[in-house]
Amino acid sequence: MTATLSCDALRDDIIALLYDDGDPACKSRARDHLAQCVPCRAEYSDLKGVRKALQGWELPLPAPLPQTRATGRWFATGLAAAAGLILGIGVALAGRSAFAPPAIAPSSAANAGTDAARQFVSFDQLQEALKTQESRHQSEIADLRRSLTLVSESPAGGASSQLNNVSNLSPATIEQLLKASEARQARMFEARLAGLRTESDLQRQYDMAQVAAGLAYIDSRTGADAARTSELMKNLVRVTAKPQER
Amino acid sequence: MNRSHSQMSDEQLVEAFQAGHLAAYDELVSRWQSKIRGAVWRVLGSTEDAADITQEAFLRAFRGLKAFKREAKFSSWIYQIALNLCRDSLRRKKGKSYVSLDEPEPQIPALLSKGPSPLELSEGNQLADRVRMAIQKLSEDQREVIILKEYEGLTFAEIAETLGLPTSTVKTRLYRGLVEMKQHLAREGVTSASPIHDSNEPWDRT
Repeated sequence: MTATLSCDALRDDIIALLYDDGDPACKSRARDHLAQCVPCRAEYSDLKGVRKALQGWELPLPAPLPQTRATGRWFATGLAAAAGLILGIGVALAGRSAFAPPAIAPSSAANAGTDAARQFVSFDQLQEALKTQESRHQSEIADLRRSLTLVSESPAGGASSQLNNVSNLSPATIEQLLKASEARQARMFEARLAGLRTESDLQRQYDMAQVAAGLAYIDSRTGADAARTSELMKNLVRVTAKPQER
Repeated sequence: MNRSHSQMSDEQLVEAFQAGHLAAYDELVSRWQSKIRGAVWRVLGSTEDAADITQEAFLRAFRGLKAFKREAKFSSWIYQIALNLCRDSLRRKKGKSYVSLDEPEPQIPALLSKGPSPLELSEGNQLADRVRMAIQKLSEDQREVIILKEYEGLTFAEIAETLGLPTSTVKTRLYRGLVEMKQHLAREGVTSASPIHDSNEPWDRT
């Protein structure tokens, strides 16, 4: 049998069968036709072969886009970039505009933004770890104080005599010393937290400066890019205008 | 808020966005960006510009989403935006393939776009590269339909909505595109384009 007019008429059905996308009646019509028509059957096999070859085109692994979920939210990324720009402008206005462009490739400004975001995350984690450590120390101190109170309440106990051998300090003095130590530790934690905060702020400022420098570099490259950047900024500024919705 | 966003359908996210929850867009982006970028890569035939075009597509969608009519699917709409940007980009590159007096810059992007870069050649497998080159020889219309069907897995109805065409036209373009692909692949020496008989069909069992 040779290809006939009916072959052309059934082409849509045959395509529906090839992709298994269509109502059962279409596919059944195509099957019936293929069972009888040798040329259409040969072509159908060819098309299946083409489909198989097409599946051989796999894309290379994608480089992470600036706005993927893993590295930061779309808006957060944009906002970080916008914040970087604003900071850059602020720095320039304050007469400190002479910061040299950092020795990084002027890569995606948004990437630098996410670096800044990552910085915040690690700072939070650090803060969390410090809090855990502090609470552990507090509970250790509380335990120690409780045991000392027990000792002071039963001076005749063996443990107390053992303790008295170690130290001649009165429980009240020990408690005072403990309090002093506790206060010292609290101050130490405070100082460390403050140090970390400052360090993180400095890092953030540096990252933002990198973002600003990157944007400035992009701006200087082409007018089209500048237009796109300003368009992006316009939208982002619109988003930032309603912070309660974020 | 985010947890609930991730459980919402595209339609619900669009509705939330239009009601003022701008963060709903974040979920739409994370849901669709890799698919859109894949389609853009394939339509352009190169990774060059794909990230930019994808980003531009989502930026345009963000701007237009307030006015988006919810009868259409968000996915069809974002594919449509991305494909339009691809067409613009390809047209611009085609326009740059001759020496323009207005533009003294060397036509490096246009030259690069004619074939794979040495890096792409060395990294990509040969079949993938031949298929990529064969697809680039198709007309834009056929290429888009094949990519949306074969790689993006859209239904004929979804492709029709994306391209604003009747379903029958989509099927015709797909058929013609596959027939042409067979010839291009044969010229590229891809042997898997030869007939394949599998036993899934009744006429193959005899």
